[in-house]
Amino acid sequence: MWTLARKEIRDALRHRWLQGYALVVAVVGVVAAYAAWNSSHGMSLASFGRTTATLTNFCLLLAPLVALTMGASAVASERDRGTLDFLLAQPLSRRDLLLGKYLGLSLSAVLATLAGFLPAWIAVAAMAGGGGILRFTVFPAIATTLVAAMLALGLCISVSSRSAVQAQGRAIFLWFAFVLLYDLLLMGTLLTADLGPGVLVSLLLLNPVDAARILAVLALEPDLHLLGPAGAFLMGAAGARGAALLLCASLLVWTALPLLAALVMFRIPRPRSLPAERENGETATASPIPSTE
Amino acid sequence: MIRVENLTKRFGRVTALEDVRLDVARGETLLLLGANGAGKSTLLRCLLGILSYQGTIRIDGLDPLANGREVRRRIGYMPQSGGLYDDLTVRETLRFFSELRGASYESARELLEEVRLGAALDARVGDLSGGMGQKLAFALALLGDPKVLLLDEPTASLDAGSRERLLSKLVALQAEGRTILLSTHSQRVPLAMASRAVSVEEGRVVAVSGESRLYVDARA
Repeated sequence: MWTLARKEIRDALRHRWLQGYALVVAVVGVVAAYAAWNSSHGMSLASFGRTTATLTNFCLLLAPLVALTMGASAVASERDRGTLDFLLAQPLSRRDLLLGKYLGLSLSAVLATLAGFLPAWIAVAAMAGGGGILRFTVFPAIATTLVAAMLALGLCISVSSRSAVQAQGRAIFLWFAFVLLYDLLLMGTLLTADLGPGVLVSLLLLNPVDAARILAVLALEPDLHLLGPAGAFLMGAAGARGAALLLCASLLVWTALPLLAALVMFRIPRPRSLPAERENGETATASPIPSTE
Repeated sequence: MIRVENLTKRFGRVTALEDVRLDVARGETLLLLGANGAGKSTLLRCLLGILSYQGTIRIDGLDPLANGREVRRRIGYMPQSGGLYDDLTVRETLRFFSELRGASYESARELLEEVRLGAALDARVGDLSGGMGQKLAFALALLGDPKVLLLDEPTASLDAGSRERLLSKLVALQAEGRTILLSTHSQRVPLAMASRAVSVEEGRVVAVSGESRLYVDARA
């Protein structure tokens, strides 16, 4: 499993998509930090919040796309290239193969995310000091948990798709659904139906991107007043710590369930039936081996 | 060493293998003859436990579906084509597969020298010719000193000299007591090197005798 994970890390870190992702997050982070510092003539609490909100929002848009597409190509592209069978012919179980790929991809995506946040991290440390750095650390952590969940979903797509193209298509659609379509539908429903705050919060938990977004808001504004009645409901029902645990649990479930589903789908089905008994009650035995003479 | 009973494999409505029965003793070399699409590769993949099937297969007493890891530890497999990562170098490929198979990198290097690919260590696998790729695949099949070799069209893409060297190597492996299943559609693999040969036609193993008839039935 670890051999496979190391190979995945090597392959992923060479991938331009991942390098581009880290670079873009880094640039946005630095620009956001500079803009916030410039507008406030120094790193105040408000400008710190603007920096992290900008960077986190951007990351929560981009990270799912990168993670979903990476996960989606994990197995499907091996199948297309013809390398999957030879890999399966090695002394490793299908479970180890899939978990090794997931581990390698997760570590690479996490490294890329942290590398992307690093310049902004340094900027915040230089301008806001130690307290700012500690608070800022929460945001890359939120981004990496979302990446882990999206990778699991991508892997699930990869195992269930017939080709890499189909897998990528499904991954991109899922990204679109999570970052845009779901919230649009939710807003539309809110306008037409009378959903209570409890129902609204539950629906938000069903979307891992929304769960990560609320976690980020919670880290910035512990009373969740930015979320209106839904935020008030969540605080009232669970408190800040309870809300954080609930949101983390949502992301954990979004990681564990797709991974489990991928493992189940990737299993090789056992033979459904044994050879039938002959009429005289004897089981079929091997017939004489063909031979050349 | 290898026992196959009532093996049937279907892909949807297509029956790739039907009621295949086979026994290969330890140290035996079995030639699987058959045209393209006869079911030879499917049979090898079932033996590896990477396809589901109906029937019974035992490799050294183990079920490939229940004990896949252990079975594949005993088997060296050379696929008909592909299987290697084009973007890796030969060196990286050797390291990766030798780690997977629990073999040392040094032993992998020695195997590479034996197939005369030592000079290509830093070449990308995707840049190798068909024959060189075949030789690399053969070297990888020997990693970890497997007891059983499943070789799918091992001489395809090889020039005459490389083919002779590979067949000589197989003879040496036979002498060491390895069990070898060699599938081919080509008349270039001499029957004489095999203990036995069977013909696979439309998913069934056909019992034949006599060299000329074997090749006629295999539609080589």
